[in-house]
Amino acid sequence: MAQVLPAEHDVRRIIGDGEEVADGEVDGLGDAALLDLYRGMVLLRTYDERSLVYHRQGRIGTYAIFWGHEAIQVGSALALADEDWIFPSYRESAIGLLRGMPPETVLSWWRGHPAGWWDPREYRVASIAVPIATHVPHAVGYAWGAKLKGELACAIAYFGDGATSEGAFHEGANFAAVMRAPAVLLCNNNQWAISTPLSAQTRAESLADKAAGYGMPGVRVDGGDVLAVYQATTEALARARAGEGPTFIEALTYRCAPHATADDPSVYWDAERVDEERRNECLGRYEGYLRRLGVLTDELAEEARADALARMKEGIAAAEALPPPDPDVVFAHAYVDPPPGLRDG
Amino acid sequence: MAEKTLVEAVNDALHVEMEREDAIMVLGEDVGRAGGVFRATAGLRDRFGVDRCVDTPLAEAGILGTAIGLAMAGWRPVCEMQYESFSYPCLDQLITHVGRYRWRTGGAMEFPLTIRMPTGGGVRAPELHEDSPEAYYVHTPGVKVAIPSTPADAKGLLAAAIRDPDPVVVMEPKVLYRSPRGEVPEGEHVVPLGRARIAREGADVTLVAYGAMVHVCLEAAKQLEAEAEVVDVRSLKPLDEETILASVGKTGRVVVVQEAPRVAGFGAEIAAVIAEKAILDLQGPILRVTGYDVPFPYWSIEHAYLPTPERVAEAARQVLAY
Amino acid sequence: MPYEFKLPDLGEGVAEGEIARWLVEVGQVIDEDDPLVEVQTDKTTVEIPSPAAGKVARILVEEGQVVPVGTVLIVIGEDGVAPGPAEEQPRAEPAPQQEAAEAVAPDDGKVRATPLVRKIARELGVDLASLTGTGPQGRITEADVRGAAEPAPDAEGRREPLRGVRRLIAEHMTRAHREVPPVTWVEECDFANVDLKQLVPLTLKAAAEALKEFPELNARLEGDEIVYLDRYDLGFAVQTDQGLLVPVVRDVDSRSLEEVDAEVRRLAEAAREGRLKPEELRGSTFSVTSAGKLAGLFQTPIVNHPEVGILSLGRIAERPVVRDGEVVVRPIGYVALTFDHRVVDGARAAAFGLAVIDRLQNGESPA
Repeated sequence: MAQVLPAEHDVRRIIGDGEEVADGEVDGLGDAALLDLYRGMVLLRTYDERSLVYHRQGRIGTYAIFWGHEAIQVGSALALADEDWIFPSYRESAIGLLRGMPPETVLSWWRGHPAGWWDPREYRVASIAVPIATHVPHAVGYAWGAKLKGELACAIAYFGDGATSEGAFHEGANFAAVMRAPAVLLCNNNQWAISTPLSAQTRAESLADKAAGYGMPGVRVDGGDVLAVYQATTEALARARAGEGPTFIEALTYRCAPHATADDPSVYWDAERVDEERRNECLGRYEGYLRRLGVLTDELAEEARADALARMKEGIAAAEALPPPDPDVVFAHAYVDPPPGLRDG
Repeated sequence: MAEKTLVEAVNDALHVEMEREDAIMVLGEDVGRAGGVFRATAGLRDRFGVDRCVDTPLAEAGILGTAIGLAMAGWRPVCEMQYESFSYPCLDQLITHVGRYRWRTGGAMEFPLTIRMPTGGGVRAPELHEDSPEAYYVHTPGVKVAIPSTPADAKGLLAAAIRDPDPVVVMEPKVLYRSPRGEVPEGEHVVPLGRARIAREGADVTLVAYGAMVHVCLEAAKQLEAEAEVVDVRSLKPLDEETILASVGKTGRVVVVQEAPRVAGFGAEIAAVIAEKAILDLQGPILRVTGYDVPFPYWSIEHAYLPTPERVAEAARQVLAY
Repeated sequence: MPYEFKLPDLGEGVAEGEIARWLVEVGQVIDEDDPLVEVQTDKTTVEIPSPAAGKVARILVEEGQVVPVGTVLIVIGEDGVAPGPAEEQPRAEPAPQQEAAEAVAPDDGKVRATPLVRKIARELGVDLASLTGTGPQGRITEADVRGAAEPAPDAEGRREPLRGVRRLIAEHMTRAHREVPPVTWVEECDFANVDLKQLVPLTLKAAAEALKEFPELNARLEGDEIVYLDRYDLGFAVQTDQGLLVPVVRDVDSRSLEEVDAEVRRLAEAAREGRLKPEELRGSTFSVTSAGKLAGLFQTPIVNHPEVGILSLGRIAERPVVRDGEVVVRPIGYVALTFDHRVVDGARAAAFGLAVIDRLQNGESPA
């Protein structure tokens, strides 16, 4: 039995601050890969910013903003192999974009249109889980099931700090460890569950400490550092593939946007802290790192942005051009073999 | 044909199906090493290995939640809930996901999982070992429900449930687990969902029931001078309306029997269907004989709660008097 | 094509918003995403970027106005590029599973009748199996059953079943007529001292006072017992569209004239509007009826069973009478009292009647 690693209490960082703290590096990440990470972050950032605009224009419904979480999502997702499955929460609603899902699909989901119901197998991205933490057992079951079949696929589940209070998280984590499922449990600790601060969510010193209770390693990374996230995820996947079971990664960050478009955080958050965090946000930090490294030029940056913007425009146009759904769809997919009288009502 | 008890028939179905298809796996508490607290899964671990008959941690929501993931990975999980009341923690996964996931994927994926559990009272067990929660399952869109009353049907319905591409809950009346014995076909035996069974023919009054209550109705029929027809529903969803309505058409009088508490029980659904579709055949009101709208009592007085043949016969006489 | 921007739904359940500040002007050429307007909801103030590019043609809602979600706020000109097609699309309803209704009754010999129709058939002694139903799918209807129960096919005249209030009145009158041996005593009364606007309440008060002296008129016959009632709950007749109703004023003896007057008005209005509660129609100990101009000279009212007496007022009119040897014109009305001769004797009934008339003529202001 592998030794359970103690939780890393010091938050792991790789990106320096451009002054006193030096930049580190991740083994095996060449320039091309570094730029892939960058472009992924720009794509997600653009998706999120445009979504907020579309919401205000009434073109999408209530929307869960993920501004500032791009490092967590991109850093981890790009560490995955093609056959690994992603189990997102609503915070990672657009993570499928990183796997080629068209923006139109995710926009349709937020527009309440069935075109947003993608086939998980096409992208190896499970449907967006709306209820908190209940998808953690799904990811675990998938990973466990793949292992039983002798496949190498892993599964990663994303959930927030609040989710670690839910029973489903506990049961999923426990199953993962007992079954030695090749799963990565990635906790996006942005320190807020709508208006509930972390201090009201747990008495644990760090969420990574919870992992010890399950007999799995817990790792703490700076959730604003895309390279740290990438590195931790890569290590966790390697462990999983080696048959050593699951890892809990706590990506520490700070939510500096409302929980969702229907939320008004001015009544509960610390505006000064939010401003400070915004100035130090993850995309800007990574850009600084890449420029210091001489990998990112203005031209490349502009190109990434323009490309992302173009894809979003295309996406919203496509989503809005979709015909209204056939109400019969309400009945069509509930069962493979429906009971009679399904249309009675 | 062999004579088996109901729980032996369940075990038989699992052996046959797991032999037939490698993707079927069983998971639950105490199902592997111990073969299940009722011995329903006896022999499976030895025969098919620890990976196909899994002793899980004590976590019903985790069992059903991971089963969803297992199904996504290509398995056909058969989850055991140790007692019907222990299934309550898994209701979240059931309502939130099991009934919805296929729909959520736009019909692209299938979730062919089975949940089986012993159900019902009459076994002198402590609190929360004798409930009848079928209404929660039936009321969940996307889920099917079957309840056998004989060993042969226990095998056949479970096989049908396992083979069904949709999620199915199979509830086995634990009071019938060890008696009576019944003839059970050998080998593959499937009783398709959506078909009720006429347990006893008669022309004067129809008694509709499922699970252990079928036997209560058969007893009640003996106490009546009139000839009662007993319909064993077997499959709650999909419901075989045709058989029930045909019987009501024949007799014009009907009593629906359920062990579960009265209010919003499945009997109300059957009554509504009859009232909607057979109003012209009815000579009198649709009566229900049910458990009461109180917690299932301590077993020393469970006889006062459970529908008895006398209560059913009395209801039948009432409707016969119209 | 000009683009019309409507106030979007900015949050769960937000139904309206106030236009806090316009960030563009009419005539201004704007780009997509340019800040367009600030909208205030009950949760927050939101700046909305323009979904369209073009020249602002019209601003339709002023700053400070509160409008519902969906209101067109602004039109962006001829060359406004609209995002996406118009949102209003005809919505197809999911076609419900429709079973083709059978036009003809299936030929299976089954009797098709609802439980209600079966009950009526039982009551009327009609054999359902002998009927051909005229309802949908060959259903036997109530009319089919009643038609079979009706006597000779040459029954004539327009028919209307006895229902509701009419039916109750019919039953009540039949019983009263059957059980009560009635005698009607009539006497004239001078109404000069009576405020005719308060005719009914004054009569009720006078009767209640008089009943105290003549308890046998405030009684009822139960089996072989005369029950003398010690309450004075008087009914008064009201003609309504549905028929004659007799609402009851409680405790007339202890209430003031004003109170009785108000109560009479209230009950009369409720009666005409069909709003009387059952308890307001029950339990009277004596009744009064006054039909005003339609009362005729006098009437022979039917006792309101199970009471034993009923007082009616004939039409009051100027009539010539003799006073002190002279013919004078006075407002005269005939007061009639029908009494149950099983319980009340003529002499006593007359004395009671005179006691009531006395009070009315003397204009005694009742307590």
